[in-house]
Amino acid sequence: MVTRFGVDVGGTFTDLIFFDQESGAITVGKGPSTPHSPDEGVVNVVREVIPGETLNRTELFLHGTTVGINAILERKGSKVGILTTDGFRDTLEFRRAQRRDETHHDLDLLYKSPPELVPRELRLTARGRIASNGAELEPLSLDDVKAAAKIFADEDIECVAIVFINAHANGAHELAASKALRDGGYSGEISLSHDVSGEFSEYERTSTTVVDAYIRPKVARYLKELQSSLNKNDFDGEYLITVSGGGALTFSEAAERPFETVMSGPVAGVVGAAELCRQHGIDLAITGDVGGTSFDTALLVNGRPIVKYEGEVAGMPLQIPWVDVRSIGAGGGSIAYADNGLLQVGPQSAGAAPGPVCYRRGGKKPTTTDAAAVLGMLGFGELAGGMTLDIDGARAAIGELAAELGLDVTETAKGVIQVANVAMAQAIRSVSVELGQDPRQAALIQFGGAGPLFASHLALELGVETVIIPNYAGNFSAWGLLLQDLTRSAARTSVMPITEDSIASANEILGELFSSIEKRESDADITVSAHKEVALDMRFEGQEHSLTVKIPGEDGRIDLDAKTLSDLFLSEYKRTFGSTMDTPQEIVSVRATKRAVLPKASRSGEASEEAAEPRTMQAYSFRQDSYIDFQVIDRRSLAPGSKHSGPAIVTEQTSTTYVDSGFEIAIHEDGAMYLNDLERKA
Amino acid sequence: MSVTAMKAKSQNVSADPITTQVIKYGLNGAAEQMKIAVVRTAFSPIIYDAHDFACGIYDRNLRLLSQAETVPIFQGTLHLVIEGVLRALGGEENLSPGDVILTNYAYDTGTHANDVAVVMPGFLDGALVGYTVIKAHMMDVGGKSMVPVDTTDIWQEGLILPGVKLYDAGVRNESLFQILEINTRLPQDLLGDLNALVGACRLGLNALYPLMERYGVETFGAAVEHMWDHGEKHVRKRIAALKDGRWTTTGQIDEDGVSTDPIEYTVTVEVKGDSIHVDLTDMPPQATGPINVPFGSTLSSTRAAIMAVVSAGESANEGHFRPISIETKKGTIFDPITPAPVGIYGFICPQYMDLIFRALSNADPEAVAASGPELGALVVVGEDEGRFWGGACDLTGGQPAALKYGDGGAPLMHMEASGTRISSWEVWEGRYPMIIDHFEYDQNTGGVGEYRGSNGIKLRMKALEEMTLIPIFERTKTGMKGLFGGGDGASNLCKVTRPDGAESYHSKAVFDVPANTVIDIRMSGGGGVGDPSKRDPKAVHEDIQKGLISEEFAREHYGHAF
Repeated sequence: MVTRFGVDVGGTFTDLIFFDQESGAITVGKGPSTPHSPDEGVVNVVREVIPGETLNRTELFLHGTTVGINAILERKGSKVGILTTDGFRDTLEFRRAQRRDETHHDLDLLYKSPPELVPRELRLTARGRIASNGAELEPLSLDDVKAAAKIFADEDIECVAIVFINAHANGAHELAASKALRDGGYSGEISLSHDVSGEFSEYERTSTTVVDAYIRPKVARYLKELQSSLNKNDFDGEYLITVSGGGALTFSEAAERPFETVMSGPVAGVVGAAELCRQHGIDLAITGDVGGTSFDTALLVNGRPIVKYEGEVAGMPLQIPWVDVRSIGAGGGSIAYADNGLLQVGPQSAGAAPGPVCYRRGGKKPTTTDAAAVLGMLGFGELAGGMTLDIDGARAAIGELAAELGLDVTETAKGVIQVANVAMAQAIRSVSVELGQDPRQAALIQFGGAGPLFASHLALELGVETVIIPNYAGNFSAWGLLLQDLTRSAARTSVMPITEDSIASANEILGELFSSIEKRESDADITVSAHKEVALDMRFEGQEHSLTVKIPGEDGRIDLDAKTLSDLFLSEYKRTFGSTMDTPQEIVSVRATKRAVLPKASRSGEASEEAAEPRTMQAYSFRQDSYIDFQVIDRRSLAPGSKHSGPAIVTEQTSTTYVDSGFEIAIHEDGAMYLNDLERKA
Repeated sequence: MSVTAMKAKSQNVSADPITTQVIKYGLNGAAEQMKIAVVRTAFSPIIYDAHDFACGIYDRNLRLLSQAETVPIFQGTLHLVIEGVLRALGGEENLSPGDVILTNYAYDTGTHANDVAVVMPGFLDGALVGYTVIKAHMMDVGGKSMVPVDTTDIWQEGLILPGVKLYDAGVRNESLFQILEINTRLPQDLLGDLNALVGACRLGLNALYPLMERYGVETFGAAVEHMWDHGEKHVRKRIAALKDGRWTTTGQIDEDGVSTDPIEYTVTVEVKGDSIHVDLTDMPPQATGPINVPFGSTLSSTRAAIMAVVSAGESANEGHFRPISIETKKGTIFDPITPAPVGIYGFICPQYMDLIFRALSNADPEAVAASGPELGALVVVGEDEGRFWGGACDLTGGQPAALKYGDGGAPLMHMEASGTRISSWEVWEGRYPMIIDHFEYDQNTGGVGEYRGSNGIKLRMKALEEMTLIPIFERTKTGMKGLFGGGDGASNLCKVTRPDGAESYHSKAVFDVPANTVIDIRMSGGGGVGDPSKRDPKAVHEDIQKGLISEEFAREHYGHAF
């Protein structure tokens, strides 16, 4: 049995959830984030919520952080040098000649790429060449490497990324260069591309390795400081951190492979949703995480998140497993404005400061939260600690926008919610339809501070029948942290036809990959049941794009004959893309994952007697297109197994759920709230 | 409902700003879904990796509702494809639900035979309501070579299918598939890619119908009008801010692929109030070789160039194009008459677009950059035990400088082909019998100036086996023009060195080479902006330190820095 706590550090708040396996008790905490030194915020909230003696018997700490991604987004990483193959000095800068960032537009004549993480004078080269089949065409020039070592040392480089052409097929030159850099007097850190990625495409592998080098010292230092601070506070359990592909690594391993932690934050909520799917027996689900600035959405098929094998951050590709979470700039703080007579919402956000007008923190511009307040979607606007929302202020701000658009206040407030809602629905469609899934068939899991507000409205827009508002919806990402598996992955590109011989050599590669994974396991590794998963990237001969196919079994081997493997590929291909062909197929890459499953935390959802009595107020119904009576209900009053009919506004500590008319509220035995659309047109 | 009834009604229905936004998102989403489906299911890298295709959704009146962002030169002109198809079939009364119509007739598609278009009419309650259409580059459609560079008529450029039903009321036309299969060197790719296009068109319609059903055809029509008005207003406002005037610029095409004579031409751009007019009447007669630009591409590259200056990041719809007019003369290079060959029209357009930018530099010096980069391509073809293989790489040069952002930045694909990517050489080496020796900045090749253009790019490849090379490089004879006193960037170059030491230089050609032939490509440098003597001496020394320019070059051009 494992007692554990999770801390998710966001831009504004640091969220904590503590789960006591003995009593089944769950404790929630929230404190301000401290971006200048994030470990402080973590320690503060831990000390506030978990008593010392309890912390002392706690076995696991699971962490979600934005330290890595913030270093990249704010360009505050370390000083990196590149050592690459002679003739390929500019690969990083050429970035495949793409206009590639979030705001790019193909027809932007005056677009200029952001400066690359490593300037040209720190991108050095060495002679020596490996062919695409791994054969050595020219030996590595150790003199070139030593000359580079001197420059790196003189320039005080903190981390060198070594990326040689075709190193995915043979890493010998990278290893030799790593040693020669030391011999040449360079003493900083080193990232090797074949260690980091092992996949082909030199730009993408360079980008991944450079990102790794860029955040390595910072992430390592942060993890070390956090660990030592928590140690001082009597926590001596295991330290784990979420990775971009889902699952968690130990702190010591994450310090070695920091690039894996880039998406640590957003992934946690998706993992929480996956566990909810497992417990509730849900196959197809979509997550909707609405924060202050952004909306993050992900698809779960067979109850599991979609994991891609390439991610991207700030326009830079990363060759690592990546939970497919899409973000758009629409959240509770998104600012609404008029643009040549059309209403626009976001992507600019009022954030936490100055925040929405109704928060009374100095915000002047109308936001989606203000529109919701005007429409009564936030109930009476009562907040914890006796604070109330400034609904009049919100109405005045929306009023100014209404005047600009030539509409009335209600129409405008309604429009703001609708435009934000449609944008979120569009993101959900793209994340689901792209993978061949119909969002109408899925359960929508809404969380984050503003997620439950949009629940029934998104359901109407998408034609979804069921929305689930989990317990502690406002802190759900921290809850997700408690549910991570321990995972490690490695992959290697090796193109070969689907034959018995190829399967044999794929199994050989798997043996090597798993043993390299096991070498990365630390002594402190938690001994829980682990299984080995295998996936193959496969395609039709002549294609370049491939499809990742999971191989059945948990022993880390392919126990299929060529015919069965081919049939498996064809059926997956047909399921994903709707049609197949009768031409030869091949294996492109071999992927190994070792997954250790932690015992799952769970909770019960008893109703509380502290709950406030229900009241009634007028709020706007999108379904009725008019103001009608809504019941305002304290979520703690809803007993497991009970049912209630909408319209209703359900309030709780960290979020508010708006339930339109025609929806029924059904409380699951664990306390999760289901919103079922009884009037849905099939 | 008839077309006129729909139009008349739509004027009476209000389209509030919110419904309009909701429908706009829906339409963009539908087009985006088409694009994603193509990328994920297409067979050729040139489609799913290089994104050499475009998807659009049109209403019954052939007005653009939405398009996904792909190759700009394909955008905004897919209605010409539908027009051509309707002409070939004898009108919309000959369309049925379930029809899938194919055309690659260059004078209808507006590009070349390799671009195969699929059109699918959409019906709601038995009435025609609109179309989805996708045009994509197919590697081989049975021309005299995979990419025609020396053709003298369109029949040499591939099998022509001018608006024929691939599916007739949902029934697959087997004979047509047989014709396609036997008329290509790469049958598997062609049929696989076609399949992808058909599926994506169907997906687009399936996304369009619920929007029309939910809001009613009338509200839908009104919202679309509102959206276009918004686009038009946006562009007119931007154009009105430009200085009025009429400017003529001159360009030079290296050669037409058949003869080696350069061809000069002029482009006149007039800004008047809130409209722009492009006059292309003073053009040379259509060329013997395949550099002629079919009208559709003249129109789209004109629109793309002007939108690049005035759209400020908005995705274009029909309304954005309303303030732009264009006049051409039949039988000239930019409005040829069939059967004039058009195989490599796409390599003529970058310079043409540059000339528009140059003309508009007079209207707003900050709205444009100097010349460059130029597009280039190398196609390699070989045969392995009777089976053909073929690869194509799109290349680009250095970025020009601009008043707005200063020095040229990292290389980008030319605006015309924005969205396509340069190849991964590891992928290339794994796939084709070639070794890449280098691919990096080419020292001293950027245009000098107060703000310098970026260096061009040098690429050296070695053929390990006998193969056919098809280089396609324009502007090998003229540099990338500087602006406001800035120097020119280096021109393109393609040199082939055979194992016996024999060297040859190429603009557009198709020829066989033996194993161990070396191919040297130098892609253009970007044009500079402003007087070089005003360049910040610190920046000059930084460029030396980065190895972008040599000290000798710096002393020659930036003497004041020493």
